[in-house]
Amino acid sequence: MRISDLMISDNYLRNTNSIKDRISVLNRQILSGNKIEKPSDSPVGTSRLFRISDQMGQVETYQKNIQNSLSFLDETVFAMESIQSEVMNIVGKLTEIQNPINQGNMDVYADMIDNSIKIMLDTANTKSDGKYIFGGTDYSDKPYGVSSDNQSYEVNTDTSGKINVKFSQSVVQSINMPGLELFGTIVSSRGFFNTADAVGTVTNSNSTVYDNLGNEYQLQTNYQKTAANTYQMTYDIIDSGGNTVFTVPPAVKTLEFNSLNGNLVSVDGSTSNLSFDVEVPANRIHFTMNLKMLSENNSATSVNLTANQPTEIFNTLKQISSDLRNGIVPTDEQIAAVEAFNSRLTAKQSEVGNTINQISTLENMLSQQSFNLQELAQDENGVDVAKAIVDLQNQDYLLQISQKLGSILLPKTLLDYL
Amino acid sequence: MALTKIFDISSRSLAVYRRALEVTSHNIVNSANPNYSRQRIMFETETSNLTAGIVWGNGVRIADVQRLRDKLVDSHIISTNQKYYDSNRQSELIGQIEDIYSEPSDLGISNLMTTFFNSFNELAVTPNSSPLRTNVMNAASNLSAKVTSINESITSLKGDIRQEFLQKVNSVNSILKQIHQINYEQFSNAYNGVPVNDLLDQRDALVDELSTLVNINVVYDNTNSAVISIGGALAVDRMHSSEFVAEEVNGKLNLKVKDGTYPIVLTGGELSALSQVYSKKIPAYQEKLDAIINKLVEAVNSEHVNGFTISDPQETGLNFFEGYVNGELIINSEIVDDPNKIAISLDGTEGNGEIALRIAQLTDSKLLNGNTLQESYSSLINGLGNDGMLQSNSTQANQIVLDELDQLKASQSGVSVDEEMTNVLKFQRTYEASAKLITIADEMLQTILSMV
Repeated sequence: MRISDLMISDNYLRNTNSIKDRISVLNRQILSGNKIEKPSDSPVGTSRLFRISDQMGQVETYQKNIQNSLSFLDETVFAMESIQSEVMNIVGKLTEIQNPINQGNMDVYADMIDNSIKIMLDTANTKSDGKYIFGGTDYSDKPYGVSSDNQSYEVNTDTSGKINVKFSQSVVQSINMPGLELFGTIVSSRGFFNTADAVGTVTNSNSTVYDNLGNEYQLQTNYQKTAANTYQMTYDIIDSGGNTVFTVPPAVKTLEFNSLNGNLVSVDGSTSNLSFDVEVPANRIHFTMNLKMLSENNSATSVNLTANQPTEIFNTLKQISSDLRNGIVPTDEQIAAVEAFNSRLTAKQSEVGNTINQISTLENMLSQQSFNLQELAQDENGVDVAKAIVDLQNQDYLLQISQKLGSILLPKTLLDYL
Repeated sequence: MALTKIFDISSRSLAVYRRALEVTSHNIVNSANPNYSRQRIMFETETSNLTAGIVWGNGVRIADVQRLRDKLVDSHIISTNQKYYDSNRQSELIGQIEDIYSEPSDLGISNLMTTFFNSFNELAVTPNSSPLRTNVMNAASNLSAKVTSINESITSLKGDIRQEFLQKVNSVNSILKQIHQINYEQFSNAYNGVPVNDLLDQRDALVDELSTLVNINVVYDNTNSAVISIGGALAVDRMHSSEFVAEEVNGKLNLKVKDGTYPIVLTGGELSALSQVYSKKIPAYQEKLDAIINKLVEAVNSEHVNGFTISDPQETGLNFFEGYVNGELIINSEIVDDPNKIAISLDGTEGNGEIALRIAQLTDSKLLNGNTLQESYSSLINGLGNDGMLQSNSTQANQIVLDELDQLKASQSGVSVDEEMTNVLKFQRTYEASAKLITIADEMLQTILSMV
């Protein structure tokens, strides 16, 4: 092949250019620490990076959620412990009063119990991170307060709401202890309807409920089958004198069951809310009716109502204290109610403890996951700096050699020797 | 035979080698000119004559000054140029689009979208927290700003491409005119016996340049005029040159002959790259991005509209995004002014964040043709990256071929100074010897004269 001068200089330029190109790529990689700088560097790698960084972002969020929730849950536990210490205190006092020696100082005991109620009430209204710990999801007012006539304690807001938090791809966990579950009354309707019942069949169920002052009422519920898998619910509240203080119709509730597994699907068309509040302000009646436990199957119809406590704790205590001031020793039922509250408090505390344990375990898993993801991202996009530097060194030698050779060869022609 | 014949032969030789040295010097001074083809003197013996039964040589003469050029290599270069400049320009333009998307980085849509959904997830923990609400607002603004800026940049890139297309069409027209002029001149010069080598070099350079712009087909007619067609349409011959115009029809950039009806099929050169990216690639990316953002707006709004604000008075039925209009992702201005209007409460209580959870959940929902939004976006970027890689690989492959062809061309047509200097020495010696012959002939003549 005939070699012209242009060939030698072109060759030299092209080769040094490609070496410099490689040097510049290595240089950029070392400086930025990233192998993939634009999608065309590695389209598949870019997609994988997207997935990894998406997951990393989610894991980080879950970790933040756990941090925030843990502090909220810790506050909840602390508040429950304070309430429990007051309740234990009261239980002790109630036992002391049973002793006739102490019955001369009933006012003192009444004062002590009033004091404990204040502390409990104050704790029940604790806020953490802008949220009322026992206030459910309604923060429009303090959840617990005194009625305007100073006769009873009442609930100002809906304390049944649950704060659901997502802690991982599949775990959504409620992090609050709704005040209603702890302090209030929930009436659950449990049992099942027979799928074979004819349309029009009516099922009844009764239970005792109490108002804030401890007065007894009868809650009567009626379920009428209106179509396959569909029932209409009506209910009445009747006082001890036999007078109806509250009645539904006209606001009937429509219950719909799943035709395959028999579970309750919706109440009045709502699939998310299978319970509703019943409030009779005039009679200080307030409880939540929970229908989640109802189902439909092919055995004989049997529906029961159960209330989680006979009466609400603040008003029970208030009743005890005012009785004491009137020289009346607390009854066994009253003491039993306080003790029942105490044991429920313990049960709920362990529930919260379980939640804390669960999300702490999740936290460990997430930090492991985050570590793994970082490693994956490194594998995909990280530069092996040692290798890159060796490569860079190598290219640098090549460049030096070609420049040296170029400087020897390029300027030479026959002319130099004439 | 007369003694004067030596004078004749020698003086002719002096003229021939002076001319040879001229050509050599022309070669040497053009050794760095990449468009120059070296020229070679073709010597031949002057016609001998026969006198008294003896053949008498008449010395040397120049038969021709040849221009050394390999037509086969030339036509390969022309076709490779078309491929190389097409893929190279596409690769550059796609590189610019990649820069606009700025992936993979924290500033890309992928990450901003993740952050946006995660901010809702965090807000669900403390739905009434105003820092967390502001956080959602910031994440949404960042996402909206990025989407808007991508669309703006793409629009401005399209404007630049259109402008460049117009300029390149002008260049094509100007080159065609010049080639036409040279076609004409080389014909008339050759006819009149004027050397045309340098004109042909000029024309070859122009044809090369034209092949970097557009797909051409070149043949040479019997008058050595270049007959060039662009995508099948006659562009130039000895008699005339066509004019081409750019037009935009239905968002597609086309090239057509002025006053012509049908657009020319562009398959090579930078014009093809510009048209391809402008008419096909960008609209395809745009369509995918629009589908993703529209779906995002629709999905987020469909959840958000059911939520209650925690503002006073409480509101419901609010959209989070006002819409995605003309490439601009607009957040509901009421929400921008008051983050308390982010409606994430399902039952109206301010501690309820069910809607926020549902919105956060959208990140895992298969919203678009069985893919999540992230997956769809990832496939958009994957497609962009693949296009970029394909063009860049094709550029490199064609670059190798082009380098090889350039080597062949330089080997054939390039000037070697060594070779030329050797020729200089050779021609100089012969010139000196011829001059010496004249002196000797003169001395011989003197000798004869002194005899008289």
